[in-house]
Amino acid sequence: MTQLPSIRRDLAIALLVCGLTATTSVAAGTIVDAHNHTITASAPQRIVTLGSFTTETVMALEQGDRIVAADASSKGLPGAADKATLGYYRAIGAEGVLSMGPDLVVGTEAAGPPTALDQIRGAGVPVALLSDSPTLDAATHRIEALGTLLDAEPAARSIVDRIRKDLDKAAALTPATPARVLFLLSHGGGAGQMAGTDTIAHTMIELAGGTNAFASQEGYTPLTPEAALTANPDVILVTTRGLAALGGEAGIWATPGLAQLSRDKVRLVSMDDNLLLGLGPRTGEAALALATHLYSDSATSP
Amino acid sequence: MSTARLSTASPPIRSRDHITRVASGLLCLLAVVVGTGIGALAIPPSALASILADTVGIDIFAHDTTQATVLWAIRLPRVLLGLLIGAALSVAGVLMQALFRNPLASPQLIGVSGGAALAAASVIALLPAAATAGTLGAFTLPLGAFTGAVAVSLVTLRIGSRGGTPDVVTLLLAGVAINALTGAGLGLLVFIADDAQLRSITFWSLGSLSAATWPIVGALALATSGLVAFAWHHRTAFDLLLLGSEDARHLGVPVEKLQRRMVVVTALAVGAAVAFTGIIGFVGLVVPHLCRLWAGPAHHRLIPLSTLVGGALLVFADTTARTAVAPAELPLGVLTTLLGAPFFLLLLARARRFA
Repeated sequence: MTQLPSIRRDLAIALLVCGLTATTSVAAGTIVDAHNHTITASAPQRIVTLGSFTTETVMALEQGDRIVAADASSKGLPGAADKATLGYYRAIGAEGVLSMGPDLVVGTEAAGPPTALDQIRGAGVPVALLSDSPTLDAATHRIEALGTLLDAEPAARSIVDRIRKDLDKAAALTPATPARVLFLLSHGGGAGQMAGTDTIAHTMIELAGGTNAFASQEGYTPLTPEAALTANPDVILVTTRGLAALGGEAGIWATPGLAQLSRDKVRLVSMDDNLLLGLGPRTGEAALALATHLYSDSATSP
Repeated sequence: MSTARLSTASPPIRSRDHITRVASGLLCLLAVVVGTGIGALAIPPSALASILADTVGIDIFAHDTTQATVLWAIRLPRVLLGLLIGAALSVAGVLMQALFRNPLASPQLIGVSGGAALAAASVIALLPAAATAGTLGAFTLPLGAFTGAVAVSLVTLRIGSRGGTPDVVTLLLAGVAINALTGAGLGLLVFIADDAQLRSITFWSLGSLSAATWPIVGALALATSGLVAFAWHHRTAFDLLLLGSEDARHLGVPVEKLQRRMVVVTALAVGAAVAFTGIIGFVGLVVPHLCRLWAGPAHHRLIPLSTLVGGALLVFADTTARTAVAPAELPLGVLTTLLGAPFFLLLLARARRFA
């Protein structure tokens, strides 16, 4: 195949994507969600949120008092602790959601099961499912879509502007040779999992001006000593809960594979779970904080 | 029939039979009423009456449309699905315990649940696109699970047969090995699966009736009635099987043909059940036990009793699962095992005391 048609195809795809993005805001309060459903909401007062970024964004839009119930993953967010809990967002019960009397259900694409969502729609409640792909574009699109649905577009725009400003600041901190960052995820049990591409951790490392040291793999892979050594990181990045699950700093440096890394060269950085992996309204703040950890002050690493 | 004498119950058999029949029927009715009446969304009796009257065109009390939707589209199909699945799992348990002549047998033994779990996990981990593609996508997982359940059971039957005739001991051992194999396959898929798929596999294996819709209720009504009709038709032969294959054969039971059919019918019915609900543990083991304690081992009592009691108990368990932590839901399979296992231990302790 020659070069030209390929470029033309890419261009066509880009135009198509632009077109799709443009149609997502049709009229006030109307969006086209990730499943191509057209959702219209008129000033919803009783919102059910499924997925932590949805909950966090609704609260950032200062509509948090309209949330009547949220899923279990939103529990850790400040201000969401007093909301009724609907359980795991992939396994919600239709009747449980309807018993909260919602006039809008917003969630991630992964929310389900589909039968339950159909039953909720069948009861006349609009269900909007937003893309949960781990990219900056998806994150800003989610914020804008929620702003449209909740009739809070100016607030949504200012959040997206703030994200872009913070990302610019983060980019300004990046030196010529970016740091190689290895993100380690752990919920306890085992040595943890390393983040490859197509993960929120990968996106955050790149937004903070780092290089994912484990970009050769896609998704999360269990940590093996040899893979960790081959990744040759400058920084090991963990979440606060992950750090505790891995047995603190001592536990990490005792893990086979990490124990063999040079302690003079490799630093450990830990950040709050919801901040680092939220990919919501605080994405810019999180990337700037990570960039600061990576490039400004080596003293703040634990 | 000689089996009538097996029961050492002191009250006259006739009146006891009658009491059993009425009591189990009432239990079932109570389960339906309670299950329909309670849920995360409050539907008071007046609204319930109003919704029911509305369907025949009488307008008495007020109710809102959400209550009507919840009742017709969510709660009623779910209660009926609970009845059907509970009955199917229990009667399948009766069949397996008759086949293996062992009160510890359950449908799990011939690899039904293992096969279903392996196939469901394969669909979730290897065909993520198929599971979300259009209207057909919603049926990929149940269809896969059903196929897996039936296929693995038939493989077990094939390995457990010598020259076309099932051998109970070989069948049992084949079942153990096949279950280990499906477990290993599941482990491999868990390793391959990403975070989200992993959680889907876990939740599938915990069991739930939340997928209940009218078409599913219809499909299960067919499967369960087929199973119960088969069991009822062969009730006398099952009694004779308990005497041993040789004796049953001498008494005119076509033992090999019957045993083969018992496995196939169980695989089809339980396969259909787990396909839509995931794995619901311990019902197939505990309910036949409970009914045997109550009415003795004769199958003409055991089969109807297991049908009604199994259905009722699963509806009660699911009502608890729906309401205990409302608006969230507990996984049903966890709840049935949580309640069933201690009960089973109690039975074991009692049996040892009498021994």
